[in-house]
Amino acid sequence: MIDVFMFGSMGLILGILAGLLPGLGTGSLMGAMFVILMSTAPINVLIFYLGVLTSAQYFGSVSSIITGVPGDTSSIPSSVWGHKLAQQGKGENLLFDTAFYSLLSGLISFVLFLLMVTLGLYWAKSLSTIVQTILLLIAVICIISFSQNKLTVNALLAALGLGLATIGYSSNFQTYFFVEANSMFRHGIPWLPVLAGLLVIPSVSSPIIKSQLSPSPAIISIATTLKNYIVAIRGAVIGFILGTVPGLSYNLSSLMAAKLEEKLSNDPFKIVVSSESANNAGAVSTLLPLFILGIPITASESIVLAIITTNTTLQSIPDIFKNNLIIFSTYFIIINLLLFVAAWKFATSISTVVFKYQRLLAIFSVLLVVGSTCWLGYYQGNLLVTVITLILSTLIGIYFKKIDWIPIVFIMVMQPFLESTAAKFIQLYL
Amino acid sequence: MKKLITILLFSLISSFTLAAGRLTFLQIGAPGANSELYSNLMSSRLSERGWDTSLLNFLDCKGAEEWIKKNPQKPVIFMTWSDDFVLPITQPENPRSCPALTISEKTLVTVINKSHHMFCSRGDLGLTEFMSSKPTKVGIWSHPVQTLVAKDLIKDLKLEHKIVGFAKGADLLQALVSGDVDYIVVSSENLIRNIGGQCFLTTASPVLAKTMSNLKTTQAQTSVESLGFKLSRLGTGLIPLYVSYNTNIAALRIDIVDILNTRPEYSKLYTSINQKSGLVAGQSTAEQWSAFSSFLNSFTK
Repeated sequence: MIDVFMFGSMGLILGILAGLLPGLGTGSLMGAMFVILMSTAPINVLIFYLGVLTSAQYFGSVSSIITGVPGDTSSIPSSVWGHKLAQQGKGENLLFDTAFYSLLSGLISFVLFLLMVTLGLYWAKSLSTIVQTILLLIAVICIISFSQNKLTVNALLAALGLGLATIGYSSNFQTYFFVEANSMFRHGIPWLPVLAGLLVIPSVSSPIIKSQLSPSPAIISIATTLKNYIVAIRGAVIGFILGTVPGLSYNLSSLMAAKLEEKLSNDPFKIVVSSESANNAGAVSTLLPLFILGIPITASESIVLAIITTNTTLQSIPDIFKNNLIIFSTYFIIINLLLFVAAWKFATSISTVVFKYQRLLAIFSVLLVVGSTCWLGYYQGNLLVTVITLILSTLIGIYFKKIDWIPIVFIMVMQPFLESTAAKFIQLYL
Repeated sequence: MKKLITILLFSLISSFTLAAGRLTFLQIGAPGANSELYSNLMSSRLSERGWDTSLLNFLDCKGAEEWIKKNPQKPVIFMTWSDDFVLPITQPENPRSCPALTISEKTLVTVINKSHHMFCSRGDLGLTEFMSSKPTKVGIWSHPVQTLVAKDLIKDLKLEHKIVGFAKGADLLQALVSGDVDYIVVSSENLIRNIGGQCFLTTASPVLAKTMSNLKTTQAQTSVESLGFKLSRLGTGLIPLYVSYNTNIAALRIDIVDILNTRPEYSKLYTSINQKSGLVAGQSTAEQWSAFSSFLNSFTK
């Protein structure tokens, strides 16, 4: 039991870092922890992963809203819409609301998760390649339809994003697209510097609207917060369903919830609340195939499976989950309560710093996003292309600030899944 | 805020000073991929035994080869899978393909093989159904060894089953559960235990396939060993083989592909490599480590 507590605490703390720091996603973190987790009991691995996944969702929104730098892909909506609200002095309220609804949607989703345990196999059976293709096409149509530019501009940006992300070697089609095998672009154009250059840097480096900033702490009112419960529940339901889509999982959850809310209300506050509720719900439902059937649907889950199967041939993940259901349930509820308090308190204490050190924070945010993007490029042996992409994207992002670049970024993020689904579809049905 | 900056700076500095170790592991593959995980594992096992090790990742072979050329005096362990090792012949365009892998007396190549491959179904189909003439769909992870195993078995049995390649191993299970394919080729029956599936072992030999009964998943592992496939392990469930200096890598690759294509017994692959490398791995984990460590000592001095 002490082991479980230790790995649970470690998952909680490292998950916060994964949420705060761009580039350090849950997948990279699980990969880095592989050796340590290899030598421990399988239940500790699963508890650690649950802690990482949950805390990364809570704190991904914190860094996105305060600095405008998304810790992971699912926090992109918060960095786009939430950071603007923080610049207007509404960050503290927003952080409280997102923490509150993250807690609520997390707990609701866990109840749904337990109810779905018996239905998990039926849901997995229904996710054939045809269904996955339809879901992805709906997501692409939503991205193109709901963005702020004209429809034709959105379609062109989406096509450009698809083209850029296709550059390089395709393991699905086993060939190079648009470049030769010895080209410096043979690894492709990474999406992180494009996101940083087009969306993050122009946003965080813009002059802060001082007149709209409030020097006094914001008034946190539960009554005001509760007004958004329908928005949050809507986001949680969308997030829970889309969280089970292989590959994109809770990234698709937050994106679709944000785009739908933009269409329905176009209120940045509601958009962030909806997307954050969705990614917390999605982070729970994404575990369904893994915990019930032993099927990993994200990169980080594949690593968890690799650790467990390398570690033991006697127990499977569903066996471990079923045999320790009470431990998992207790841990999940406790960390959600802890993370709510941490994110909330973090919100109230950070607001003072935000108001006091606005310019320093802007500089720090730019350094953070540039540093982490370059570090990831270096780690992947693709530093030069990363730097070139970052510089070009930043220049374009600053010069064409009025364009909504979201379609290009989201399609680049989705491209690997679009490509693998297309490859599967072609082989199976054409 | 200060703490955050400190953590950020610490992580940046740590990552940039990673390459300072005495014994460097080179591996090709995306961060978080299995190759990195197992390189990490091997590296840590060596660290436990007193080696000063570090790990470098490259997205393709070109980057790794450039690094070796720039650092000829640094002892290097180049980690590769048997699947990747034969890529220059089977998929020369693949970025993981290393046609002119530089081996000096300071470089050691480790080739890792999975112990066996098996065909698995959702549970309603077994070996008998597989061998019937009714065409069906077989999902494979698009890597050379699995491709060869599946293609050869289907060809040997004169079947018309369609092979569907998946870029990620994880997609295979989903495809099987959702009914996109009827069989998948995997190297561990653990993966399908929870969906009520069943597996039968194959090394693509029709004689072996025909003599085997329709095995339940829990019996498959026992059957592997009862058929004489009891193989030495290095604590990871995988088989490491070492290729030393002066080995003719091109010839070795051809041999491996030939064995994979024509093997009557899969174990011949290991015998062949051990003879070529001049290093015979011990039967127990301790003996393997002992052999590996003494070999490392000889080339790092």
